[in-house]
Amino acid sequence: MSKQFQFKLVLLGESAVGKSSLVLRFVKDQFDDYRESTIGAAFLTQTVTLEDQTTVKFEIWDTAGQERYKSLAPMYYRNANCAVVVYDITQSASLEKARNWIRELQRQADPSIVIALCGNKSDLSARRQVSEEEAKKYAEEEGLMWAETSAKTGEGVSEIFTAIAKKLPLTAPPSARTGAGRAPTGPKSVDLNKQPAGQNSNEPCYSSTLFNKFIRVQQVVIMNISKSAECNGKKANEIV
Amino acid sequence: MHKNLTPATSPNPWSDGERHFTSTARERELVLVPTDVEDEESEPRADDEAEARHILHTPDPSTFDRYVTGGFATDPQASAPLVAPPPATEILQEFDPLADQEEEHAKKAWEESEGHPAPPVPRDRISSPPPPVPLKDLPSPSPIPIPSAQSSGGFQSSLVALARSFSIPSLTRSPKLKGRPLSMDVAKPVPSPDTISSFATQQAKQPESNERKPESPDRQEEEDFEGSDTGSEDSRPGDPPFDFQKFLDQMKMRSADPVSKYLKSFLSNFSKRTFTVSDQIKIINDFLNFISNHMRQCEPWKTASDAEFDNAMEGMEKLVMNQLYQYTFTPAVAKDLNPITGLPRRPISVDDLERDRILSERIALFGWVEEKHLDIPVEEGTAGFLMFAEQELLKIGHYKAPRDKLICILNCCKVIFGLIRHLQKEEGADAFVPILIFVVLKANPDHLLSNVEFINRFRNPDKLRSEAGYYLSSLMGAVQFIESMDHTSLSNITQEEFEQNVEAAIQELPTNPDGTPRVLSMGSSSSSSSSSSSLSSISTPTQRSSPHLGAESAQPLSLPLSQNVYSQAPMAQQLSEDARSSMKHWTWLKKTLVHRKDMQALRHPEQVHLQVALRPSQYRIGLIN
Repeated sequence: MSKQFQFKLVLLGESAVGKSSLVLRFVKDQFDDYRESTIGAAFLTQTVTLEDQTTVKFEIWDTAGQERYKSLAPMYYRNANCAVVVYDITQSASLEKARNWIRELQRQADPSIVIALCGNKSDLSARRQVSEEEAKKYAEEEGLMWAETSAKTGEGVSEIFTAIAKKLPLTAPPSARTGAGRAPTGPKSVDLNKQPAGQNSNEPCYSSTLFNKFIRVQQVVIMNISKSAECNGKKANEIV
Repeated sequence: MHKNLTPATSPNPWSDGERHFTSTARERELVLVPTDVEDEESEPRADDEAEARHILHTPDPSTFDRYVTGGFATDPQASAPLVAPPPATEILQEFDPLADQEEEHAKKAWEESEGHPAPPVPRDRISSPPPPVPLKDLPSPSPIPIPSAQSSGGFQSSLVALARSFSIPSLTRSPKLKGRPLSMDVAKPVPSPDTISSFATQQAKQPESNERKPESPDRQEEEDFEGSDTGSEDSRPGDPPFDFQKFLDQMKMRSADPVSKYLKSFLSNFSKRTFTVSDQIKIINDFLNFISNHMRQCEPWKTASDAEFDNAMEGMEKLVMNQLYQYTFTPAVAKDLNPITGLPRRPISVDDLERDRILSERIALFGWVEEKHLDIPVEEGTAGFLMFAEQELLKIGHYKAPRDKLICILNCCKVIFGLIRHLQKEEGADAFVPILIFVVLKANPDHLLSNVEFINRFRNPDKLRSEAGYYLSSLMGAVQFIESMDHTSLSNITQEEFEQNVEAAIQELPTNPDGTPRVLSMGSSSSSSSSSSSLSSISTPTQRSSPHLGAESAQPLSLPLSQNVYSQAPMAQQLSEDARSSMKHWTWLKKTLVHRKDMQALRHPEQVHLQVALRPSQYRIGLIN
């Protein structure tokens, strides 16, 4: 049986660099019957199948690129396993913004996050302001993946996502879907001592903000056990 | 006994020691051991013919019939041979809000609540409230002038398309759904049509078949109808829709008695004691894990598919949280006062109410914010969509179950994407986030943070991942943005203007008796007063008398998927095609509503819901044209 993995991917970059188009191209090109997004295109999922039949499902979290929403980004990249930072090759300022995002990710995001720098609008190379060499050199210095893409023509789009899929840690056992709702195994099967993201976790989807919050609550509960146990004893006596 | 109480297969959620603890704790503290279950390990009485039928999970025409003819358990035909013999009345009353007299009250409350479930006017618009549109006006033949598609342009078509899409789950649903809303978690959107016109054709087929429904009580015909309905988007094999009533019916089956008794015992014990919030989370989660093991061991769930069982657990969560709402939802706890002391009966250990108050008062300072300040294009129709989105968000205060509250948030986001499509902007967070912020500002829902916390605490964590997690995070992002908003956060405004506007807003705030603006006051008294006043704006006295209000299911909107994004056809062509078909639909929708009213179909809450949901759009259209 083939292995299945699920990863959270956050999409960053200035507005108008074509973040959303890039992802729509990726999502739309491969599966026409794609139906997972029931609300809107700010959250999308797409599955990549690697040569060894391993499937990697990306949960793609789009972010608002306008400067004024910059402070909201941590809500989105928290616990992301990978990030695609997009710039527009026809706007050198957008690469500057991308550098800022990358700095922020390196400082604030999970240390194991896989970051890909993506120069979009490669179909407009006549108006190019950012040379391939410049971007590539920067990416190498920072240890990032790098590619140029065109959301319009589709050039390089699936390649970059496939490359990310390959770079993600795929050593964990296949994720066991419980499929039974609030299954007894539940979310608690995640090792609490582990960093939730990127640590070969086969269920990185659990690493959502809310889930972590939930886990923290549970940990508090565990600490309170002795206290509760006392109460329980009392209660039992009352009942008897 | 121990064997039963300890999940045998699952690895322990927290730690081995703890599992040991929890199982013992359950036995002792929560008294989950039902004293009156003869022998839980005995074979479920699945040999009963009636129950065996249920195992098959084929839609039962007689149960469907029962809903169409408007009768519930009292209908003699409803308990016809195909249905399991009715269980003991006490169990019935315990678990089925619709099984006894109170059902009538709940429905009455629904019908009599004018602004319900969408509170009519956001607070900041009180100064110019729109004239109330009485419910009875709706079905009148032409309550509003309907302009031709040509003159109305894009707005009309998009809004009508939106309105039409409201009809998908409730009016055109398959009879298998027995008149209950779909689950957002299982209800898959419409199968992808190749073009917008094929989508329209697909939709156009629905009304005809549906109109037959009330007119064909003959069972044979119903079966034919079901058979012919296999192409419906609602009935994807292997993906049963969430049906709370079906779950309640299952709970009433004799084979489910042990589960019912455990539940009853749990609810009763939970209500007798006061727990901290973190203990509540743990206890409820433990119970749901525990009961899921037991459910898996007895019919009808023993043989249920994973998807069906998932629905059953959704139903169980909803049932439990409906019942425990008054102990778990912070504003409800705060409202439950001890008549002697005037203080809440149960201590409130979390700061939800304070956070609610601070946010709500902060939002009140920004009533002047306009679309341009957040770069939202104002076009014909923008206001209608925004109103829709606000109302969807405001419904969060009505529903009790975390699942339903979450659906309200997601529905709000869906409407926002409807607007983005209408504006022909690129779909994505760049367009979505500003509109969401604007909607939160304008709606200023009461107890927004309490509601979100409630969802975070008590919704199945598995269901808070992925898409739901994204949109909840976005909502919290919007809140965070509002909390730190200054003139640099907005477009088209100078610092001076910003400060003037805020200053003016402070002056306009209602003041405390001592003359200080309420925004500056501290303490729980103002928060409790604001909470009670806000709740009363939604609830009428009749509603209060019904404990089941809000216990019904929220209905996920199924907006047409992003046609514009996926179709290669030029946008303009899509819109014109859409306009043509949507006018037809709009007329049909109105006709159906009239028809339904005549058939007294309004007995079902979700249909009232539909009417109320449609009202603002009609109102808006009337206004704009």
